[in-house]
Amino acid sequence: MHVETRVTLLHRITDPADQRAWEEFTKLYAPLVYAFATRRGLQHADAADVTQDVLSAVARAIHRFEYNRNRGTFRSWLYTIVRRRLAGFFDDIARVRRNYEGEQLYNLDNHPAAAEEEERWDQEFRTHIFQQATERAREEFSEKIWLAFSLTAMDGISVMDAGRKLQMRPGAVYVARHRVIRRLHDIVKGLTEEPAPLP
Amino acid sequence: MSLADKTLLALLEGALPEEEEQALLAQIESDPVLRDRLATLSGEYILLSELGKGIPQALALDEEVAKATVKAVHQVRYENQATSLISLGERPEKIGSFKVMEKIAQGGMGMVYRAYDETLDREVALKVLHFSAAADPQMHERFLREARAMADINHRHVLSIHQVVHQPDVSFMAMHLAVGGSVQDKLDKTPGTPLQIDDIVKIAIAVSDALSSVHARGLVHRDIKPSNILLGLEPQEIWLADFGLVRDGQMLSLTRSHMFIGTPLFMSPEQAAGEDVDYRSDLYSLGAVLYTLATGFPPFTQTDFDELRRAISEDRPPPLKEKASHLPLWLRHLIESLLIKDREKRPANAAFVLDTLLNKTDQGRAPSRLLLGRRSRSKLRLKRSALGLLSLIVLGAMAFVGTEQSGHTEMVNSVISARSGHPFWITGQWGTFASLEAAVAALQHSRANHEIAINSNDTLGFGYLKITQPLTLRAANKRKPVLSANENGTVPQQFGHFEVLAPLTLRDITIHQRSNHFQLRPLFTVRNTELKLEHCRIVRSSRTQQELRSIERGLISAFGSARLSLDHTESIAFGSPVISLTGSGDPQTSRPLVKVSHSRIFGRFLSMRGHDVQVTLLVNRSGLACNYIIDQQSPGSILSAQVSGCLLITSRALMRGTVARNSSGHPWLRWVGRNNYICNAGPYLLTPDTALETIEEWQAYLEENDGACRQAFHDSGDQINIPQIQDARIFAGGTYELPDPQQKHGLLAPAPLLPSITGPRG
Repeated sequence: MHVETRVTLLHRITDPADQRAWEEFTKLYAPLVYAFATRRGLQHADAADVTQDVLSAVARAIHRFEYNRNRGTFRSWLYTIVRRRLAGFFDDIARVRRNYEGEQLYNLDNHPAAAEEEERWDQEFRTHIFQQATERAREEFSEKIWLAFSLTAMDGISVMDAGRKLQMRPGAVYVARHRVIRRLHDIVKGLTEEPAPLP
Repeated sequence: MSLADKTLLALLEGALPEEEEQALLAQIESDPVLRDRLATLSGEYILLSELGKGIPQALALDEEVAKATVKAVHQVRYENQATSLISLGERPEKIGSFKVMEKIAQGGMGMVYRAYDETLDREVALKVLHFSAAADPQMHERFLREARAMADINHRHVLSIHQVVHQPDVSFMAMHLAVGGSVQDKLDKTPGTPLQIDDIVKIAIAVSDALSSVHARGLVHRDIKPSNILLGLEPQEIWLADFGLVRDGQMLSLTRSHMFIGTPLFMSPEQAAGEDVDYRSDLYSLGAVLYTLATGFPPFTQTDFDELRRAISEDRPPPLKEKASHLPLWLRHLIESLLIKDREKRPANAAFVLDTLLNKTDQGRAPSRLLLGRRSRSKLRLKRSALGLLSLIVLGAMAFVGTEQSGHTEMVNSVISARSGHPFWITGQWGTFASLEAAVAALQHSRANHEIAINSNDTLGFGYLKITQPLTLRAANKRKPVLSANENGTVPQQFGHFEVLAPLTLRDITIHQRSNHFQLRPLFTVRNTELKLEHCRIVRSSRTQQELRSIERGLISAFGSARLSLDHTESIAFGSPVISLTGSGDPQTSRPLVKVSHSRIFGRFLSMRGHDVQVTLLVNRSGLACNYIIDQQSPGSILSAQVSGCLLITSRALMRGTVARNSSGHPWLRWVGRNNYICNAGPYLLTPDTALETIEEWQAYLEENDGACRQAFHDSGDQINIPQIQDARIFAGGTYELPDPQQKHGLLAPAPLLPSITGPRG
């Protein structure tokens, strides 16, 4: 899958004609929302509902985000929607619980504090996007270049050692690693419009 | 940027010489600060939190949840297309000189507001480009393209545009306000319920009418759907809107970036497949819209995008016979024919659809309010529809509610314009055709008097055109089309490329006919009817040996009492006559009339052969440079000529004939000449046994028959060569000169010919 970097995914989904963009978008974010909801203790069917609700809400409101593009990141905007849906869901549960006292559906007392929760969202969001980006970038590079990147940047092997292992000059290892990182940045930016461009 | 940074970046780009690289690497090994800086520069730190943990596990989502979510999003997007997303707080108070009143709709590029135009005291629809879209040059281009397309079309069923403002901070267009909402709104009021048949037909007529005009400009709308068909308060107020995706042949690149464009429910199989689309895609979408109006549901209702695309390309929609059995058969057939997957097999064009709709509703096959959208008709027509009505009433089929005769379209004088490109199109105000042949053939079937304007500067090929209804074929304003007559090998040689059986007028057109052999068919065969060439240029060339370049079939071969007229026209046909005349065998219907004025003829001019004819020839202020001006090869033919203010140059003889006198002993030529300049290298009249070598002999011959040469200059001493013109120059439209007699003979000579013989325009 190739991600166009010039026109970002977020920009493309505001175009009603661009059907493809929405599919890509949904496939990208639905697993994240679902996983986040599950981690918050929701069961499969409920998490699936919340996921649908959140994505539908995004579809309904993306123009509002587009309109105020400079006011914040997409990550935090999406979180606002996720938080509201989850809050709504737990409100319903609470109401149900009042009626069926004793049946413990969800452990609502285990709510993490709001700030912690947002931090967790940020972490999960970034990890997910990073994972998606690596998956996409992986296809674009040769085995050797990819290893030069993954060995040095992620497995903590030194450039010299990696060079020996891959039979590459250390300079070439730097170049390869840099190319992959730059591409990862591009992809992440194309998907989320974060982070800031490289110097 | 510091020097160290530059070196480090060079390392990352692989741009350092090897020795320098070695040195730098050693330095990096030992210097943590430098290593740190390198990591910053390569952007690692931004990803650091992720990088440290290795590649994370992909988040799993089961297939069903994924599908359901995609479905839900599609649902929202579909419902949402016309509903409000932006709260009132974000609605601007004023845009330009327009007071914004409320939001009507939301599109991909911007908002549509109802607004009040203070200067002109009227309400308008204001389409404003999004801030985010305004920054995007592609969106800007699309916005402008839409405005241009709408302004250009100006059609009663295309929403009219009042004003476009295009500034760095705000871009908007003010359009006519459709107070009746859209057809989608109408559908939404009672979801799943079909519309009334008259409403469907009315909408179909309006949209096909609008589309034929859109296609005439070589444009494709590409987004025909119920929400883009707007309504006024009056039943005839139906407008096609939203030209945001409109495209013409030159605009391919702009939309390539969007793999799929258009609303999926109504898009054509070729759109779904991501192929190039042409006007026939709009026809499919129209079919899909009509299907929806007739059944209450789109032809395909799959909510998964890939599934929908597959269905559009492969599946048959539920048959109308089951889903809308109340529709008249013809309408079911029409809608289903529009939904054919293979665009080649769909109805030829929007004009055809319109024509079908108008005819069918007129002829009483549709139930109730039969004369939908009809206009004043001939009495015969009214009678015919009255008869249709009557027969139906007699049959007791149904009760009739009003036979309203409203509408304001008049399908007379359709203008068809051609636009070349790939694929080659000839398109019309109510027609879009693959070729000139198809356009002419289509117009011949309709009863009205028609005009075809060719909107092209290119050379357009054609093979065989049969003119059975009066037709004018002309260049569109300021265009200079060239028609190139090509053999298509299917029509017998005696037929011309134009077989003229009804009056034909050509204006501002150049026609080329060239071949490597000399078996050329006539360019025109005119049978007992009228051919007019105005400001035209017709050129024939066969590339053969000089002696073989004799083609007795004239460029214009007329049979019977044809009427030919050349005005401001230039004709070049060496080795063959421009005009050949043949009788019908009956003297009563063998009286052709030939008029030539302000024209230039090169080659040979007029030949009479076959059955005898009685020709009337009127030549005025023209220049003829020929081997023979007149060639009489049918012994009983008679020519009566009035020639004035002309320049006649010949290289062999002025006239050639089989005899000097016909069987009754009279000269066959009656020539009344005034104020001509004749430069004749050979005899005045040449026959197998006579040659009238001098002007006096010729004059005597003419006076026997009431003819004379008055105030003519006869110049037989000087050899004047007929301008030698090379084919290449002719076909390139090159000019050549005829001598100016006044330069040689002073003021007594005829007035200079050339300035007034302008030939074709341009």
